[in-house]
Amino acid sequence: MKRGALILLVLALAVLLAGCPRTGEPRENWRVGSQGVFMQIVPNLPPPRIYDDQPLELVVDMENLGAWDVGGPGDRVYLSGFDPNLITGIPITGELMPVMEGITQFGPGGLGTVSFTGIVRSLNFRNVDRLVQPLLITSCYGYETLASDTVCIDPDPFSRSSEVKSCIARTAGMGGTQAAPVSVGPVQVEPSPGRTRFQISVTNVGGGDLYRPGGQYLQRCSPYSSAKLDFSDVDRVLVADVSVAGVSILPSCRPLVNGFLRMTNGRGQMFCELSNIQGASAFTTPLTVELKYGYRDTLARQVTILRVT
Amino acid sequence: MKWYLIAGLCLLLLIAGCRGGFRTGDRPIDIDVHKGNDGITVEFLEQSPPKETFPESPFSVSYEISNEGASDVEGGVISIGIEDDFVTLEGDRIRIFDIEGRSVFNPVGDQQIQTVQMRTKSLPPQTEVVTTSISLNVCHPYKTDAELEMCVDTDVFGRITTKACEAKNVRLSGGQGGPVAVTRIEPTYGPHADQTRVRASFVIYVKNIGDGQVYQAGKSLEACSPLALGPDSWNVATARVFLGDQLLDCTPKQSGFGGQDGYLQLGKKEDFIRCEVVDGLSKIAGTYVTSMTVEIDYGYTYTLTKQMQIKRLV
Repeated sequence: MKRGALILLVLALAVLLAGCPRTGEPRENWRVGSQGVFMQIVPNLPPPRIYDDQPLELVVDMENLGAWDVGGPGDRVYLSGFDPNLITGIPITGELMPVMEGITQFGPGGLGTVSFTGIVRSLNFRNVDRLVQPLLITSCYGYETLASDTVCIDPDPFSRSSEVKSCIARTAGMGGTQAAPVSVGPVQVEPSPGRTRFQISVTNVGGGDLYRPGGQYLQRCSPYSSAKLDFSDVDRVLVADVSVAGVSILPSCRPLVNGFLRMTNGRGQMFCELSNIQGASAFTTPLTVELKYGYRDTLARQVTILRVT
Repeated sequence: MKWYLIAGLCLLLLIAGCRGGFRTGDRPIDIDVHKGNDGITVEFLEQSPPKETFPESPFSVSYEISNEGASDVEGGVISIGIEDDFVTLEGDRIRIFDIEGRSVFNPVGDQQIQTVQMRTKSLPPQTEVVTTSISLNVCHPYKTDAELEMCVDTDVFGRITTKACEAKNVRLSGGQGGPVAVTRIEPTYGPHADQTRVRASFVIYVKNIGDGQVYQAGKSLEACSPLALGPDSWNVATARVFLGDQLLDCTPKQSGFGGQDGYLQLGKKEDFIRCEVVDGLSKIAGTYVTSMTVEIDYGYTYTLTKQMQIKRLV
């Protein structure tokens, strides 16, 4: 009886241990996910209602769910949406985004916190008893997407020989999402004699706003910027590189304007070509797409300010 | 010893429960006092005046004044109307009253009762019964404060997709604690000559939603007495509008008057004014929600009547 109980205990322990995540061991297929920086407001900071003799305190918890490091000099978090004459002390230059490493095969991304403290003016001056104030937290940061998958290059797709090919050119999934708010894929591979064309689709999957990368655009992303992001700035992603077997085919990509791909309704498409393929037999090789962009996420909360006196 | 301790704790919890929880400080109740169509209401008390009385008898008329609106009244006037052939009034025909309105600290508003002594006269010969009326003509200054949240959007070209709010027409129903109410506000934000600024203007619709008549503020005594109130003083009100802390410039203005107040003519019950932010709004302010306060100053008058019979003693 005792022996049976012991066996059961050992078995339960084994099941438990098997369920635990292993640490220190690299994960496979870790570059997955459709978010960059995830934000959430700490519960009750601020509470839903405050009195006008209390300060407004807001704390945002952040986590980098993507695979690119954030917290560079232009990456900032802003608090806006409230009446700046009623709630003062919130910097219109925003707060620096904490440095947060991206996820890796060894573990999750970095965590950080941003806090804002505002001084609430008495509602007496306006002769109002209550005022609902929206609080809009806007994060502006630069991000990159690195997508890679194996594609089949067939220099002679229409050969009549009975030779068995090592691979057949077909659509590459690029892993679905790539741990970034902008994803690449699927890529349609269209082989023809001596050249292979790639139809690469790019999608904004993060739910935020996409715009040109760079410091000046990060500044314009601010809700307080007088020079807002223009129509020609938003929905543009810089295609930094497209390479096959380590060789860049970026110059062949169309339609790019100064290296930028224009997105419509969150989707864009480009065509790239690998030409002058030597040899006659099909082979598999990695296709890599690298995108750079600025990204803006927003989070909203309301607070009701009540008059005390 | 332990038993006493537990019993004491239970008692403490019970007391706390009965009081609706422990007090957390002197905080006002969160109540919107700027609601409703009523301002000053006056009602005759029951049996006042009596339904029937006799010739040459004293009687009293009591009425209750309530301030159900959100404005305090100073210098309200009640003019008592009687048929001099049948009734005499002891004291002044004009009665002045001050009464506090609703506030977060006084959510119901004040009430007061006034009593007037009267006496019936003798009936003419051959007359057995006479029906006479007693009327109260109420004239009082009043102020409607419409407080609302207004979305200020300096992104006139719509370059920001996610905003804290959307600038759209605001409809206000149910009144704002007075018989004159703001019913609709239409904001417009457009380009300014200065490229760093935005023009902001608001069309504000105001309506007399009560059963009485509006007159020019500060003329209650004239409105409720034989002193004549000129035709220009009827159905007019002034409005002062604030966007946050900023006083807006409103048109039309009362002729001969400067300032930034708008002038409303409520002869057809409803009118509108157009108010603009002087020098526009800075684009740096972004999109935000602020308070808008519309303060309408006016006088308000109405009459209530009650009948009584004077019966000859058989």
